[in-house]
Amino acid sequence: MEIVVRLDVMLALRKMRSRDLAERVGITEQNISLLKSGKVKGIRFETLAKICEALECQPGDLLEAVQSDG
Amino acid sequence: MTVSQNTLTLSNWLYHAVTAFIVALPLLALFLIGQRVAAPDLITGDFPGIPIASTPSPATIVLAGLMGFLPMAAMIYALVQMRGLFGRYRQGEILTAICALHIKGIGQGLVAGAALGVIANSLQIVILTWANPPGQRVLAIGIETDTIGFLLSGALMILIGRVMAEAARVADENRSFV
Repeated sequence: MEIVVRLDVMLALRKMRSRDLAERVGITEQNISLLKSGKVKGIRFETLAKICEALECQPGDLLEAVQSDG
Repeated sequence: MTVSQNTLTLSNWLYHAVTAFIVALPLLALFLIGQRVAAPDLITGDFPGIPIASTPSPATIVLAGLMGFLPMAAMIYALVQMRGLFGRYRQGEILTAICALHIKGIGQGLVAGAALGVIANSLQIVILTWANPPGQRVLAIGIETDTIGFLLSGALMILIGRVMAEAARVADENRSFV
């Protein structure tokens, strides 16, 4: 089982650009990019809460547990 | 990770001070050897209580002096590690695996310096009393308070280095959190 970040889907649904989200959340655009690509070890609750607030969604809309290939 | 300006300034100052010390230490040692070659009587004061029967020859003094370079080499190694550490600190790099390695290196240098100091001191006494009549040659092995201080400080630095390596690993992991 692995956790997949669906941030790009939510950004598309809300028609928001990564740069705008980064500004509203207060993190760098590079970190948003890393988050979208799943190249982070984890996300702080604080960051998650800010993203949820900015995108008007729930954590479950951003994170999904999927069966890993291996 | 942000580092205070005070830390950067102090690190920069210490970096230059240690660099100067690395250069000055061997020069000072050479000066002291030269001084004792010129005035061999000074040696008696360097080794109180050791019966140095005759005035040592310049070659003996130089040889004994060179023995002193053994612990100095270890101390210079510790200073080079310090220079490396302050070099990293002054660039704002404080909690990394390389800094931890430098701290560990300082400790290793101090421990080696203390151990080599005991050996070098014994060798110097043997060399300086070699010209004594048979039965009056001396082999003295002694551990002074300074030596114990260096050993404990070195061991402490090695331990801090290990802890810092662990802290650097945690900090690195923390950096990969958004």
